[in-house]
Parts: sequence; C-alpha cells; structure tokens
Amino acid sequence: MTTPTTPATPTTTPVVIAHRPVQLLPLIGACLALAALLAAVIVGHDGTAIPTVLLAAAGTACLLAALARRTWQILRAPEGSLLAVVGLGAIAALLAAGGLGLTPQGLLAIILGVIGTLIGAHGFTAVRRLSTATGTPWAALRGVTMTERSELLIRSMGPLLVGAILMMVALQAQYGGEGFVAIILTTAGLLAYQLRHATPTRTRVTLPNRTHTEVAAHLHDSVLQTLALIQRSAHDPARVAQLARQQERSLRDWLAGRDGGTPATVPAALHAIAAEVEQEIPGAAIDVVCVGTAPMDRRSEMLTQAAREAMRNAARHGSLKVRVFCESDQHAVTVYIRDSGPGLRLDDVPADRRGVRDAIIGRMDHVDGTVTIDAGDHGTEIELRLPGRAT
Amino acid sequence: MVLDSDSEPPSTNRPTVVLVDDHALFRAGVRAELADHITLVGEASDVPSAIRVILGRQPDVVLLDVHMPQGGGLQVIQSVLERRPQQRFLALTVSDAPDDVISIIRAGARGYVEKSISTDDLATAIRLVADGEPVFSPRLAGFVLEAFSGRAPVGAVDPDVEQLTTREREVLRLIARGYAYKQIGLQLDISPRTVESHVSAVLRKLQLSSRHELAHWATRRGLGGI
Repeated sequence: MTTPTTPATPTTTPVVIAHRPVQLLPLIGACLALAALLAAVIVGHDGTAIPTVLLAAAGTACLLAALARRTWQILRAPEGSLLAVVGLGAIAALLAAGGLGLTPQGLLAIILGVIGTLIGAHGFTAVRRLSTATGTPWAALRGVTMTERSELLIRSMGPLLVGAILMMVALQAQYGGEGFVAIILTTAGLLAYQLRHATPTRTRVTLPNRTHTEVAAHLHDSVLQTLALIQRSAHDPARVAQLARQQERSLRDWLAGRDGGTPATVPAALHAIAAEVEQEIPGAAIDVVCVGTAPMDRRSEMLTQAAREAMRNAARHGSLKVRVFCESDQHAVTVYIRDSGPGLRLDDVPADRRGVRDAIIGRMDHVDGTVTIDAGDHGTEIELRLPGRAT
Repeated sequence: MVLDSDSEPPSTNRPTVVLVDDHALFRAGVRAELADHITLVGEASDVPSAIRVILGRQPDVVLLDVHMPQGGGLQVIQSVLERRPQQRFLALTVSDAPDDVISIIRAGARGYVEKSISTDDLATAIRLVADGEPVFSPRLAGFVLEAFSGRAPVGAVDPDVEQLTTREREVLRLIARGYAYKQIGLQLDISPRTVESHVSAVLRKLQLSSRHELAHWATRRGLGGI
C-alpha cells in the first residue's frame, strides 16, 4: 500500500530523494489503519472488537497528526491554505452528513480520503512550483523535449489526479453521488484558482526546478573539485588559468541553463564549440558575443562546424585569445572569428595544409555561404556568412 | 586594445585611481598588476567607505566592482554623482547579466569591462576613461546592438528613443568583433577621435532611452540565452 509519506517537494534528481528523511508518523499510521481494516474484515463486519478499535484509533490518530503537520505546511502557502480549507471542509461536511456511521467500508473511505488529500496536495504543490517558475504550466512545457514534457506532466498532474480519484472512490463508496460531485468541483476549482493566480516571472528557470540540494550537489561536483585542482596546481600558472577558465565557462553555462543537450540555436552552438576548442587547445581563451539568434538546421550546422575550424585555426596559429562575434538577422547569419596573431593569407597556405580550404571554405561553399579572410598586422579575422536563412 | 608601452611617457601623468571591490584578493591583484600604469590613491571594500574615499580623494577614475553588499556599485555611482557629477567610473564585473550591465551604464559609468580583462587592456581602458572617453567591452557592444536591434514588436518600443545611426552600429559591431578604437578608425576610414564620439553618442542614447524599453529588452535578452 502506498503510504502518505509522498515527499512534498517535487524531486528532480536521485540525490534529492536519497537525502529525504523518511516520515515515520504517517507510515506507522497507515500500517496500523491497514491492520485495523484487515482485522475488521477478517474478524467480522461489526468493527467493534476491542483490538480492532484500538488499532483503528491509533492508526487514525497517527494519520491525523501527519495530516495536521502537512496541513500546517500547506497553510503557509496562500494557494495551499485554500486547498486545505476546501478539501478538509468538504470531507468534514460529508462525514457530518453521513452521521459518523463508521463501518469498515467507512473507515476505508476515510483512509483513502486522507491519502487522496495528501497526494493531491503534493501534486498541487508541484503544479504551483511549475507555474511560479515559468508563468503558467504550459509556458513551462514549451521548449522542452517530448520526454521531458511527459515527465513533467506526470510528475505534476499525476499525483493531483491520483489523489482526486482516490477521494472520489472513497466518498462514492460511502456517500454516493454527492461525494463524487463535491470532489470534482473542489478539484476543478482549485486548478482554476491556481492557473489564474500564476504570476509570470521574468527569469528563465530551467526545468526541472533547481532545488537547494541540486545547487549544492552541482557546486560540489564542479566548483569545489576545480578549486581543489587549482590548489594542487598552484605551482603551474598556466594550468591554474586553464582550470579557472573552464570552470568559469561551465558555471556560466549552468547559470544560463545551457547545460547539456544538443544546442538548439546558433549562439548556443557557438558557445558550446568555443568551450570544446578551449578544452582541446591548452591556454586558448575564446570569447563569444552574439546578437540575435537563429535556429540550428542543416545549413547552420555547417556554418558552426566551419566556425569550429576557424576557432581552432585562430587559437593554434594566431593567438590564444580569440574573439567570436555572431550576428543573426532575417538576411543572414554572420560569424566573425578574430585573433591577434600574425596574418594568414589564403594564397600562402601550402597545398598540403588544406585544413582551412576544405574545412572552412569547403563547408561554406556547400551551403552557399561565403568566407572572407582579412589578415593584417593586427591579426586575422575570418568572416563566415550564411545568407538567406530559411525561416 | 593593446597598450603600446614604448610610446608611454614614464610615470608622469598616470591617472589617479580609487579601487572599490569587496574582494581583498582581487584588489591586491589589481594593485600589483597596475602598479606601473596608475597611481592608486585609495581603496574601499564597501559602499559607505567607497563614497567617503572617492569624495575625499577625487581620483581621475574609480575602478568599481558592480556587485557589492549594501546596494552595490550602483549605489556608489548614484551617491557620488549627486555630489561630484564630473566623477568618472569604470565598472568592473564578472556578471554578464545584461540588466546589471545596463543599469550601471545608465547610472553614469563611463565604461564597463570584464574582470578577466588583460592588464594591458585594463590600463588602456582606465586611461581612456580618465580622458573622458567611453569604454565598451565587446560584450557590452553586443548587448547594446541587441537593445537597439528593433526586433521588439511594434508598440513595445518607446517612440521617443533615438535609434542608432548606421555608423554607430558599424562602430559597435567592430567593438563586438574585438577591434580597438584605432583599428576601427582605420577600418571605417575615420579618425580614432570620431570613433570615440560615436561611442559617446551611443552611451548618451543608452542613458536616455526609457527604463521601460530597456527592462523589456533585458527580459528578452535574459530569456534568449546569451
């Protein structure tokens, strides 16, 4: 049997789950209540045998204590208080109307109702978090993959539905049609209230929501590790600089929600490629500035791969410090890769070193793009232009 | 922006600087790196002492960390400019959040550079600000181009906001590509002085543009991923 110990926070990583303390009170209560129920069923249907009554009373007391604690938590959130008042009020009203005739069936109904309320509250909290993070639940669902989307839906709406169904079954069994309608109305009212009161916030919050635990875990795996490495490499300034640079980039990516996954836009792809080239060439520092954005498709994939070759070339043969500027508008996507090293003239490139020709010019030719190389005393700049982006 | 140290007169008219940063380590680093380029006349690690030191020493340039406790760099700029409007600030930051950067420029900083800037570039930037010239980092140039890109839906843009001229856009694009003012001048066949006046004009438009539009833009920018 599912215990009402369902965590109140939507968990996002196994780390979070592993660190959650087990809530003993509702667990014991549920076990006792279940035992009482079984006893009542086995011993007889009168429900008056003393052990049965004691078990049931103890179990119910535990569950009510857990419910009271959970209710207090929910009460502290404005929407939660509404849920608690309406939900508990409905149950109390129905109990009163039913004249407190506690048959085993009635006991089952109450237990299921309580569990349903708790699970529903959990689902409600999840929906609320989703909404406050992104404006509305459906705003949160834009820009994520199918799998993530279904996971989010199941995680947030699932408990709410399960809770509602449990309550419906319980109240239907005990009180018939009125209980059924009351619960449907309550659930619908809560959802409507929730959606109307969701306020848009302007920061992008990547999904799933980052809990404090998750942030701590991330910092532990990344920043603290790097700091340890830096302490051990204190004698090697180049290594320290490289470590700091990598960590800075990865932290910025994480803060901007660029972590992992295939980049969906040209700017995101350029940032990712710059990070890779920095990893590849020790000491390289590639700064990327982008204006406007463009989606990744077959042609822009070629563009970014050409840009990768240009960055490699700049960092290897030009200067370790490389600047990348990307501008996207309706006419074209243009990427500039600039170093401050000695100039590179295309005509001077020996035939056996075909890297630049094939890797950059070949790719750009393939997608009807152009390459302009400007080499002078101040360094070399390669301009990659991809016109007529189909939008 | 590479400093040409050969043509530099030896330590005569070095700009006086007050350094404001709440990280002692960072102050120590800057102090050591810039010893040959500037005359450090004061340091401060929080907002009240920064205001006191700046008003007391009246340096050519205040090198200012944007993120500090008690209201941060913004508070310092606003308080000082009330009493000493001619004070010049160069903002130094690790933040690449556009609203941070823009609010500091709007408050009156003459320039913005990233903390990872090389020593030579920082020295050049300080000298430019001391001479009353604006300093844009490539990243800031990118932000500004985006802010004035006109990609905002019609109606969202404040009609009073003066748009950038084609020339100003060209200059910003070259800054974003990493060109120094001198190189920009060569590229556009104008004098470095003209380049500076274009950047000043951009700075002025940025400071005059409506808060609403900038907030709107910063939001979009924040949502779009940098």
